Amino acid sequence: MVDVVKSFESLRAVDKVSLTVKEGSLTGLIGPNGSGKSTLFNVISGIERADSGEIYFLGGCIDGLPSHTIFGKGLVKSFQDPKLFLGMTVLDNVMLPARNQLGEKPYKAPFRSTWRDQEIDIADKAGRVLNTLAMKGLFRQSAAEISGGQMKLLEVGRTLMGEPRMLLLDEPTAGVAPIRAREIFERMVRMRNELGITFFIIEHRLEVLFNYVDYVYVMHRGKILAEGTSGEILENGTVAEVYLGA
Amino acid sequence: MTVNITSLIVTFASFLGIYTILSISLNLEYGYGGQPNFGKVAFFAMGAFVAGVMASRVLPLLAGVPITDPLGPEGVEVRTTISSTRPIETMVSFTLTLVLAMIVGGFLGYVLSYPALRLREEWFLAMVLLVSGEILRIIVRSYPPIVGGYQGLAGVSNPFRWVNDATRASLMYAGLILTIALGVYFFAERSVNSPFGRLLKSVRDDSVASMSLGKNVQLVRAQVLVIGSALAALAGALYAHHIGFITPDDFIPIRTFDVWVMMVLGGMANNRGAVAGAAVMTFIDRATAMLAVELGTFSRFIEFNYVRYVLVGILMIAILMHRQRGLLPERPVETAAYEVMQD
Repeated sequence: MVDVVKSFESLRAVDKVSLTVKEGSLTGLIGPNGSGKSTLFNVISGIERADSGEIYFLGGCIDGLPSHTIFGKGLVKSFQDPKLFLGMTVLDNVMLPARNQLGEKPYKAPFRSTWRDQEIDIADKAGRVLNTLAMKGLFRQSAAEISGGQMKLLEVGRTLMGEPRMLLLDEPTAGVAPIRAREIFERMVRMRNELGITFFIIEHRLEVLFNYVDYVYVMHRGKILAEGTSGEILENGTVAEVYLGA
Repeated sequence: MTVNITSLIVTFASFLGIYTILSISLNLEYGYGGQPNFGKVAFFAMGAFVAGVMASRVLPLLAGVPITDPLGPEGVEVRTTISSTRPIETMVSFTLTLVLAMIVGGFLGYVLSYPALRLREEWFLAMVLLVSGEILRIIVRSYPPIVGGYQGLAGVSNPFRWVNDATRASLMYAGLILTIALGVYFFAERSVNSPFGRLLKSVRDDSVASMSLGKNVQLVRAQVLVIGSALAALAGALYAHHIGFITPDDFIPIRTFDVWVMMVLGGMANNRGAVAGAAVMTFIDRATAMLAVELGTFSRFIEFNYVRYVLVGILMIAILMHRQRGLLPERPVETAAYEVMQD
């Protein structure tokens, strides 16, 4: 992305940000609260529209496109606070993002034979995702009735069902026990290696993040303050000053 | 007080069928899809107006009877005679009426919701539709060439009038209305217990999350409003042929809120609940209407036409206080996916 700007009235939440996320990498985005990280993710994923600047994904320009079109290109985002569909079950939450569902067309929906086989395949895949998250037993449970940690996991699992080429994860381990947080990152590394998914992750648990990411960007007051490997960021005095409080 | 049981059954069954279709249509839009349609009466009215136009212009045309004044007494006589003596033309015209009412209703739903659907705040849609319903009614009321303006249009006959036995014809039409309502119920059940139902609920629960997961939320909103509006117009066309007389003043905003009461009372996102709500409202509606006629001359202190509103109000308060999810609460979407997971 090049020179991306996003303002809310007088507040410049994202101020001429330019950055590159290498394909197949695990890239971190850190910064104090209110530094513009989540806004940046919203702009990349099309939830918010950039005021100016350009965003490219796999060679194509995506700025200004609606978020469902951006999703269609393989760029999938999870939210900081899980945005689950609370009136639906855990299984329905996981199944929803599957692509090209025939039964979503209103003229096919009443005719089960036109989408039943595909539905079974999607359910099979959803079962595997829930199994990975150790949540298969909860499939009939309402999403409103599971714990905060499980909601977070479900949010991550849901993004995986969208067959992403790049995942934007906004604090995927918030509210999750420390040992679980490491498991989640280890799973991301495996998915990167096995499926070639690129990860761009906002995370406040630096002790976990730094062990797994290839590259890190630091945001402060809407701008990119620093970038580099985990080691380089840890040794960066300015970063330590504004972010780590050293 | 003398009560004609057959007439009571016919009226109750006919209204139950019509209200069921209306209740299910709103339940699809709001209960499942989260789209607050406060202009339900506009689509209901549109169906009735289509029935009026078809009966006054197309029916004589199909029967090959020239007519110079379709809205006047000559028109009433002509269409009444055709309906009594020409079963094929009558049934063809009636079938075309239902199909056309759905097409026009669906199209109107799309057109009216088009600008508002582009906004993230769905309550703009509610306001736009509420106002549109009144504008439509006022236009039709003030412009006689459509269905006779404020004087209305008579002679929109029961499509079975040619049976030449009024009781049998009424029973047959009530049976047809109930059959169509049953068809609408099965259509709605099939539609919501599918990935489409899942999609609707996702838009209702969190449209931003649904969008970020690849769903074209604007399209889904438009789709459900087109379906709901088409069904409401179908109910309107059936209603016009049941009542036999169309007047724009029959389609005031309170009718929209009646449908909301049916849905909230029965239980949102539950088609069985929509039917239950429609049944309760039909009972209140018919019972108070009947009492208003029967007791009207005896009562100096109570006007039973208004007792209906009091009863509905009390019922709503009771439901909202003690059973917020309605008589039959929401059920999860049931597809083959659950069988797979069970294995």
